[in-house]
Amino acid sequence: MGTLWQDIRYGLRTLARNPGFTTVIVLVLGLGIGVTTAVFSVVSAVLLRPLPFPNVDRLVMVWETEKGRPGSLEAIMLPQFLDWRDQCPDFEAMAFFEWGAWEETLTGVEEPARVVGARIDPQFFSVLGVVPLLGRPFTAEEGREGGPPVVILSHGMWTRRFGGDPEIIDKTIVLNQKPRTVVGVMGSDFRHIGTADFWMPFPMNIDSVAPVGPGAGRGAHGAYVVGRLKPNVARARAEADLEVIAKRRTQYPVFEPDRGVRLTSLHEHLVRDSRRLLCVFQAAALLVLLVATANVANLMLVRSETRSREMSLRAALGAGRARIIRQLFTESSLLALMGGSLGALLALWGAAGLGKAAASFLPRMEEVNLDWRVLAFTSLVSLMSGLLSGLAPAVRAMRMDPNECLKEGGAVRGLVGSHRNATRHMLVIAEIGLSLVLLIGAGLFLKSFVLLNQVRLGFDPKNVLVAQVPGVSEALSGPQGPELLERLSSLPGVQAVGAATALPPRHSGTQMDMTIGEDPVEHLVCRQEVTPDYFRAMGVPLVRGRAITEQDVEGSPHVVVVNETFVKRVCGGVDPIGKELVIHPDNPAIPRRRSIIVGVVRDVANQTLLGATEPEAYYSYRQGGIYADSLVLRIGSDPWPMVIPVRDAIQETIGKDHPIAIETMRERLAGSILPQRFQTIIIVLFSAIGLALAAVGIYGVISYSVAQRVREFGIRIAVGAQRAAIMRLVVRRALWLVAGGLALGLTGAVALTRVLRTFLFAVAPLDAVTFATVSIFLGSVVLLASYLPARRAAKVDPMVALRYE
Amino acid sequence: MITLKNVEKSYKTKAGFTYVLRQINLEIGEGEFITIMGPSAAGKSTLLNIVGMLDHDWEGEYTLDGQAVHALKPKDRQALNRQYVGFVFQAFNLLDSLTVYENLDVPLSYRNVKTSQRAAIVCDTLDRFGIVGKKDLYPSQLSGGQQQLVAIARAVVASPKLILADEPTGNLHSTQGREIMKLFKRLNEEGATIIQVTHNEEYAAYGRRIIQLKDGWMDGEITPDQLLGKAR
Ligand SMILES: Nc1ncnc2c1ncn2[C@@H]1O[C@H](COP(=O)(O)OP(=O)(O)O)[C@@H](O)[C@H]1O
Ligand SMILES: [Mg+2]
Repeated sequence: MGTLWQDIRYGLRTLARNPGFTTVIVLVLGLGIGVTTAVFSVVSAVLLRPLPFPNVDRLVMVWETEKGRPGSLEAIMLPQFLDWRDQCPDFEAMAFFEWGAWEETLTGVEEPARVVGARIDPQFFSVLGVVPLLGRPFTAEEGREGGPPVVILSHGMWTRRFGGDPEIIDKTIVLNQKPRTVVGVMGSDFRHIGTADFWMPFPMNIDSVAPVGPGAGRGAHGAYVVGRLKPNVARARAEADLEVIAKRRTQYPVFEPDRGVRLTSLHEHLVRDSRRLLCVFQAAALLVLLVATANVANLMLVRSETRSREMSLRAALGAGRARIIRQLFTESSLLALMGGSLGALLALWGAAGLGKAAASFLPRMEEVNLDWRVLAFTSLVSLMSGLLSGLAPAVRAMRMDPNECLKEGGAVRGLVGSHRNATRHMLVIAEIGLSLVLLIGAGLFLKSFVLLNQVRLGFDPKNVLVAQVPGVSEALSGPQGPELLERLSSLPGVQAVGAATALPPRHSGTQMDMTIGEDPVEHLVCRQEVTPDYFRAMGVPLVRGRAITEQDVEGSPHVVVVNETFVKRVCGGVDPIGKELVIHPDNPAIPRRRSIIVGVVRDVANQTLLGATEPEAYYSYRQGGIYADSLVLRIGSDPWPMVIPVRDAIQETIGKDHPIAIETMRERLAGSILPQRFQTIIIVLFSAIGLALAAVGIYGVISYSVAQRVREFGIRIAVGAQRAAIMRLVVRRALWLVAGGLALGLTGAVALTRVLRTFLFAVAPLDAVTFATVSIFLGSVVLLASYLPARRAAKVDPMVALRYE
Repeated sequence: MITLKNVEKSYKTKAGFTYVLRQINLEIGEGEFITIMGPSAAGKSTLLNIVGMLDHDWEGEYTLDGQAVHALKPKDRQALNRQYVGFVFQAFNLLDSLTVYENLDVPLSYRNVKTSQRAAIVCDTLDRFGIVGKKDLYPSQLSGGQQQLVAIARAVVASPKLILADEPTGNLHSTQGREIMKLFKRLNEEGATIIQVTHNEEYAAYGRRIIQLKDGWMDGEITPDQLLGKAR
């Protein structure tokens, strides 16, 4: 213990004596560890930390799958859920909930607000094993159609909107103009699977098993089912039992014979889409750390050479090899500790940034923090990089013959020197290789992102405002509709106003089976309703026929406008105008809707920017109503000054109680590729750090070797070498390192980039252009980093270099 | 062949200028064998470096074979160095990581000699110096005398008209030293102009003229006979 303390004290003194060296190493390590820790804190929060429910391992999600495609997970039809809940012996309890957002407008408070809720089964909370902080969960009675209107608030909504009112229970709040009684408030540690400000019961007509609300037919796969298995029930057994029950169904809707049942853990389901991305991030961060470690190892090696005399002296004075090696490791551990602390600080800041930036598309981001798990990881990683970077000098110390070093004979220097250089060169090759892998990844992401931004939209996003108005559907479907549109189009500067069920570039409307007339072939077509000026407002050109007009009202013949992909895929390229388009609902009880195709419009990116355009059918908003949440306004010039007049006009027409969010179409488009943007920025940032470290690394190594070879250059100049020849000599060595690094990196990249396939848009993981461009770029940067020392080498003065004392 | 007029060299120090060479005037004909003697720090090496055109920072006039070196740009001086000069150093200054053969090849590689010719020239030179058997050895595997032999071979491999030797025997014992001096004599008889620096009077006497340098000043010139007579 005494000697350890002595080692530490001595190590600290050595580090303090070389403040420049120590600072550089701590910075480099800190950067590497910081990046790795920040990413790990996200990985830990999302993937590793168990969900905060009791016996969470028994909580499962229940899915319908297509046999033979175990990856295909589909939500459940409600009647199916009821069969399972009532008949399956493997579960303690089962509940369903609606996935995603159920937006409502909160009024009767100071400022009306859009709040996001989830509609759930009354059993939902008890299946998860949680109880409200205040009040009670829903009763079975409240889950029926026509049951009392009730609501449970999230802790966040309770504190934000109601000031944490302790008397909130049994008070009434107004959501979408309907009063609801607050029966409970959840605790601050409860988070919905997904996000929710409030919960309401899913109103179900228990006799017809027909839940109420748009898109919720009996045959719709609309329920997400969560269940709590009884103790010691294996998932496979539950899956088999559920399938048997499902296949017993004879009534509509039946469970098709080619279908199966699959259980996944709640956690797995929640993180399914993020796991791969987080793994890629973590791998990239570890690459950065490896580059940093290689860099530090090199610096330590160089320094150990300048200290070889000291080491020999210590050996001559009786210090055993073990003792010397321990001293070296003590020093590198101290450096790792300092680097780790700096890294933890950087991570604290980086993790918060990551959490905020990714909150809208990664789950559990509010849980990101540096907990014990993260700190343990940081310590481990710091220790590992400390050991790794101390390894090379230690091995050197082990091989060292104290006598040789003290003599410092000129003759042996050549041989030993080249051996030492080999280690340093290998480290630099590794740095270049690792950086190349990072850079190629970044290049692929970047190219993909650029292509994503160049997707043919099919409409003109310039000078377009999008106003999100909850409840605008009711206004548009009612007598107020034409008045609202008229009022907005008459605003000075507004050229056209429209609304549609779903605005591009997000998935539009519902896909339904349709046929042309009595043709037996069914086609899946996206269906949505639009107002007459929608196409003008979006700048979607009409290709043939006519658009929807104000005359297309209930009572006149139903009409429909289709897109070009529809013409190509559904009609085989034949002009469809005048033909009849028939919607075939899933449920045979619902009558088929028949409409005449009157026009064809240009394709619009309707499957986010990532997917290929699907066939689309646009119906008139006055022939069957419209479900929309936004208005689109084409403005003659800069749209920003119109934001306030537009908002005022909407509120004056349909009432002040509507919170309105207005953005430009360009913002909306940028928002739709936010995840891709985030991925690209992160990977590019990491690879930039890797590149900088690699450049510094090669600069250091070449500089050091130039310093070592001053005498050689002096001799060469004395026997006639031109300056250019000396520079070539230095740069040639760098070229070899670059070649080695590129070979290593390209091999690694070929092996690794395939995991990126799912993130890339219109770019192959082995995109030759990216590989070549990035290699040339990295090679140039590295050669530039070696150019500076090469110039120094060329300036060597032979008289000074060869001065013989 | 060589004319030095009022050549001076100084270093800038904190105390001002320190002169290392003062008013050097010297005339050396083609085929001469010159010895420069003088105490340590007299400026001998400095003078040799100026004549060998490794040093570009001096004043005065220096004409080499009719060309005004003082008026040339450093790059052209270097070209002249390559054309005329072969250097031999006290510390041998061989390249440790190259073999004997490769060491001899280095000067040729900097002189636009065709690769095919280079091999022939190197082999010739190895032969002339009787070191063919050592061609694949590294400098560290040779004795001091052998190393200096290689160093001289390297100095003459590109057939320089002028050989500059700065204390070539300083690190050698007497038998080895004598061998080296005999070699210089032979090279001189074959036509090379030689300027050597030495402290050893026996070796100094190989030169036809002995120039004395002291504190940067020329301190007279004597013949070998005068030198040996004075010693006796
Ligand atoms: N780069 C330098 N800066 C300052 N003084 C130098 C430098 N190089 C040589 N000198 C000085 O020039 C003088 C002559 O040196 P040198 O020609 O090597 O002497 P010699 O070879 O006769 O022993 C010495 O006093 C030496 O200290
Ligand atoms: Mg000298």
